[in-house]
Amino acid sequence: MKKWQMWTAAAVVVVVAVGGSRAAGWWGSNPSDDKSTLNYGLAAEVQNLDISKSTDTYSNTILGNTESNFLRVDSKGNPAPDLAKSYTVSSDGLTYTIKLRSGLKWSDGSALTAKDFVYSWQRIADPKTASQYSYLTSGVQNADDIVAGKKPVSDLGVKAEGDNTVVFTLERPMPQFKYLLSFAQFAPQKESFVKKAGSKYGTTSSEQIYSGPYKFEGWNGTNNKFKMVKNDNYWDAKDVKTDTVKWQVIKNPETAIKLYKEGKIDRAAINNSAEMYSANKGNKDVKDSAMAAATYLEYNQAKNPYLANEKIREALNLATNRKDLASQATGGTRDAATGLVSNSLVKAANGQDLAKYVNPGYTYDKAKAKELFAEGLKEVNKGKMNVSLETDADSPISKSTVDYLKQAWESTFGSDISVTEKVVPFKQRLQDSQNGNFDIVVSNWNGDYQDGSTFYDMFKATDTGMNNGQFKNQTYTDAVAKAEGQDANNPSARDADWKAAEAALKNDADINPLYSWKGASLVRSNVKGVVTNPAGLALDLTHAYRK
Amino acid sequence: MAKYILKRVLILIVTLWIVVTATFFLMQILPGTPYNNPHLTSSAIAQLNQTYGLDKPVMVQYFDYLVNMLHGNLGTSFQYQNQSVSTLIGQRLPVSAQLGLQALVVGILLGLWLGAISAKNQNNKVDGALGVVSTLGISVPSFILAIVLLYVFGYNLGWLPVSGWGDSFSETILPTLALAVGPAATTTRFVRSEMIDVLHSDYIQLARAKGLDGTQLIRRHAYRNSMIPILTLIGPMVANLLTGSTLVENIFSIPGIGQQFVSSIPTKDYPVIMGTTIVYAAMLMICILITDILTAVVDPRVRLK
Amino acid sequence: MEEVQNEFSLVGIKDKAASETIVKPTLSTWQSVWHRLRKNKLAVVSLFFLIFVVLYALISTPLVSQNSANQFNTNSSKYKNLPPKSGLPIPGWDGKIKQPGSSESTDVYDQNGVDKNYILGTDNLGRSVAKRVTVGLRISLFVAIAATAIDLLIGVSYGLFSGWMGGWIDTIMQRIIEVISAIPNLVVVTLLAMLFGSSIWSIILAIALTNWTGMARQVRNLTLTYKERDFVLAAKTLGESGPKIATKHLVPNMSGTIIVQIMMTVPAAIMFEAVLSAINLGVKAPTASLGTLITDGQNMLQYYPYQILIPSLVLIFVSLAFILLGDGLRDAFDPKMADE
Repeated sequence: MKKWQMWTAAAVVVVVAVGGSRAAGWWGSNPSDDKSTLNYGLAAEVQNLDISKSTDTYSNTILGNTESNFLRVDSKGNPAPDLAKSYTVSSDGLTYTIKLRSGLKWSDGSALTAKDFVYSWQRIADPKTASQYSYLTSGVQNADDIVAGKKPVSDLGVKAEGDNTVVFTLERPMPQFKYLLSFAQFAPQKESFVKKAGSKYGTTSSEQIYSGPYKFEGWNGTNNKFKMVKNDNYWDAKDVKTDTVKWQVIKNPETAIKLYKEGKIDRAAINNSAEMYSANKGNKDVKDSAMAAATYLEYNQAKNPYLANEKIREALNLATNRKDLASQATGGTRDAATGLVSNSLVKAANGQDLAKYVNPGYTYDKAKAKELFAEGLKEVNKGKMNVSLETDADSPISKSTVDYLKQAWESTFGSDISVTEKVVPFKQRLQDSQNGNFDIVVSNWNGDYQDGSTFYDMFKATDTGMNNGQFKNQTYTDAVAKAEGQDANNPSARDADWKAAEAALKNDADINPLYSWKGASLVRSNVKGVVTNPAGLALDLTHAYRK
Repeated sequence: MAKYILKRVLILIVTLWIVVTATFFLMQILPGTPYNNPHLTSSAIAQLNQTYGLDKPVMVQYFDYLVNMLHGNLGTSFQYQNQSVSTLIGQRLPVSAQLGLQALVVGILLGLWLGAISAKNQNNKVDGALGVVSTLGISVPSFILAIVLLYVFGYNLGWLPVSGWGDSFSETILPTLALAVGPAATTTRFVRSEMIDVLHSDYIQLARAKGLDGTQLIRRHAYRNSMIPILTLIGPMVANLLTGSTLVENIFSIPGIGQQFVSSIPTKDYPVIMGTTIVYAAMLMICILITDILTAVVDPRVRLK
Repeated sequence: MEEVQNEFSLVGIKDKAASETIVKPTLSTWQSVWHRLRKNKLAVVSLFFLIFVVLYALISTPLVSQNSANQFNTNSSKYKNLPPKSGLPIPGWDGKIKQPGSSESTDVYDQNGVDKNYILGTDNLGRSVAKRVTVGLRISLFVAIAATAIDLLIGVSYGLFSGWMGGWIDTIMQRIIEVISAIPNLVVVTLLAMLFGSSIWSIILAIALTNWTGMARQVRNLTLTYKERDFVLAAKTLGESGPKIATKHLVPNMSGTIIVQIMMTVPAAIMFEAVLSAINLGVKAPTASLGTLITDGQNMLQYYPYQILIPSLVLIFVSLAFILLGDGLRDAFDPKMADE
């Protein structure tokens, strides 16, 4: 080969490579014009579609759109009938009687009956299933004993009466129970299908059967492109206007934004980092969405003598400038916290946002913080306070948060405190939290449903699995017990109880609320009918369509 | 030959067993919980441990694992519940293999070409420039290169897709390039020194005396004889590729085994970490074995013992 | 014959005895290595660059402490993400940058009312990048050099022992190396880093425990060769003990190989530190290392590219210098080049 031939060949290779990529469809027609198809990205792989066992948000998003339950949360945040025709609650709040629509079918055309619901509840409670969500059944008659393996699953307070009626018997009134009736984890499962699939159940899109608006297709368990197609056997198929929803896994949030701008996906979150947020917040497509998630610090009161001292905890709380933290460390991608409960979880009975109603008034007061800290140190009498601050490394924001807190505390208390940051993988943070192997830990909680109890239940005892600081606060416990006992059926009294609980938390400085999450995404303006929920199913595409 | 291969395979199996054992016991002392849900109470965790057999004595778990492994069962992932590790790895392996192979082929071809140019121009400016470039290629970690390529060609120029796998060949270009630079640089340096040796050898001097010009010399004689030692490079190159591919796959959202490994670490998905480690070790050893055999086949001077 | 002889006279040599002396000045090994190394310009530049880098890392230790690199103002956001500003009108180094979301580049310093110039800019919390890179370089170098030192210790003694003992001990020890090198380094490093937690020492240990096999192999091979050489046999006959022979005779003779191997291990260790950081197993925040700076900068790539480019370039140049110097040293130690 002569020199010029070689160069020509090289040039041809380059042209073919670049041109080929353009011709390969990536550069062709704009998918955001195709009316029958919507395109979305997932930030991580789908892990599995076992209704009782899946734990991650992304599998839940797919399940929530391909499986239906009795109810489905509507755009106003109210659980509305889906597979159920109607439901009645007894006056004591202990019995739920649910009538199913007639002629319900699975995606394979077989009949969907009350038995399928009962099986699903029994399966998740069954210790043999080993579901990490079995605790959600708590409150249904005998559920706790069944989960603990002390009673057989047939004792669960969920019974089918005929093919069309399901009756739930509760141990205590639970105003939030209607939300559980919309959870993907409790969606019906067909026993014969589950048994036949055996250990393969939910591991590919064809090892699952669908009761929801869409069927899931093209997922082999590990690939990163798949789709949902309209389920013609869904009872309300006529109102499902989109034929296909294409999904792809996009791990890098910047890539998602790029694909959005190229018209290849219809939604991209912009709040992964402060810089990304400020770069995109001016875009006309930006839409905020509510998220019932909160970040707070837990103080290890059981093991750390300094943190067992109320004055020191109080001082740390007072030295935390939540407004500056939100604007600087998170760059405005989060809102400063006002209490434990996140913003926009649910409206209180008086119409206010619950977080606003219960606001116990956390403040930033450097002078008072210094004073209390000095007193506290004297009481503990062990000299300088060395403390570790643990967080997981899942987003750049969580790193900046601990950097910020360390600097803020050390500049306030000077040489009396030394803060060591401990940034660890998520699972390790969890284990450290559960074993009490930390001093101060940054915890996040995303509410399971739109009711205050999803937050306040966390600390109602020391063994809830969430009270990692192991604190005991009788006023708090009493207030929560009252809300879930005598006030359960009285919304405004219940809200007052939440408020008392929140005040008790602040009084003892048991936690340090940092910020409340919010969603901000680029959203294609010609896509209508998408429902985003602050808790539960994050993205509901049942009635979504492109105009 | 057959005896030699048999012996090597036996050693390979013993080595794998040691790797399995070491990893297994290492896993036991690593921090982290295998469960996702923060809301689990200690009794719930005890319950789950019982279901998954994690409450059994470690030795029992170890022998269970070995027995299952012999049956081709690497266990079930904690993170992707129900998904068997063999499936998770089996479906991702071809993706990684394709990426690795592409990078290796591109890298070696590029290296052969640049190495020959360098040798032909021994000690002049071209050689010097190529020397610096190839050393630079060795010093730049592939994940930094991947980030830069992504930024320049993906985001700024928008020529090539920035993520994904399986839709078009164009998706593979950037990750392949990021991974190919290392092997290309190594090969360039190696070919250069091999070829300089060969060019100084008697038979080349003879060919020169016969009147063959430079390019012909290199193509007819020098290449062939400096190719054989390159085979020995493939083993270490594959080892480096494995390291690089984990991060590069992550950067480009490629559903390969490296991405699986990286994501199983923070989630403490023991069965997947074990499985990927075994597969990695096996891949590396098999590559080294194959290159050893190939070397013996190609080069009559090498005798296998 | 005589006549002929008379017609020629001896020229050039005035003193017959002088022709018997050796013309080349006698050089010690080190002098001759330096003599040959000097001819390789790249290697010399690298050497001076590395000396400068190491001195900089040492001298800056009392001046730029780890703490000062972590400092920032919690009550003001005006110091965040300031681009590098040299104070001179050099494009790209004048404090101007396209702010995310805007289409024109502006002088952020003027905009925010900052009158101090940050020569390499600030990061997303307002920490000086120059200080963080200084500390990062120091930490990364420390990790790499400490890990290499451990490698050296383990690798050399393992190799010497294995080669010296020979026989079945050697066979077993070589098998062990084979097993260790069959597991990809990344896997071993990550597992060990997970096990030891994220302190500097654990990272050093994790890197050291995987990288020593190369050194051990080379030392063992050389030991096998030298074992049969006269100078070792002589020492043996004189009754010197094994360890004494190893330290007095073997190691000095291998120093060339060992030094070259060190030059190759340091950049590998620097890279592994960066890889560990990239999967969040790096040094504890807020301590900076080149790896953590690169990882953190990754999120800024689109908006503030200098935050990832600066630490990346430092890492690349330091690695490059080590490799170039290593190449130069290998040639310089190579006996084939001795007569040039």
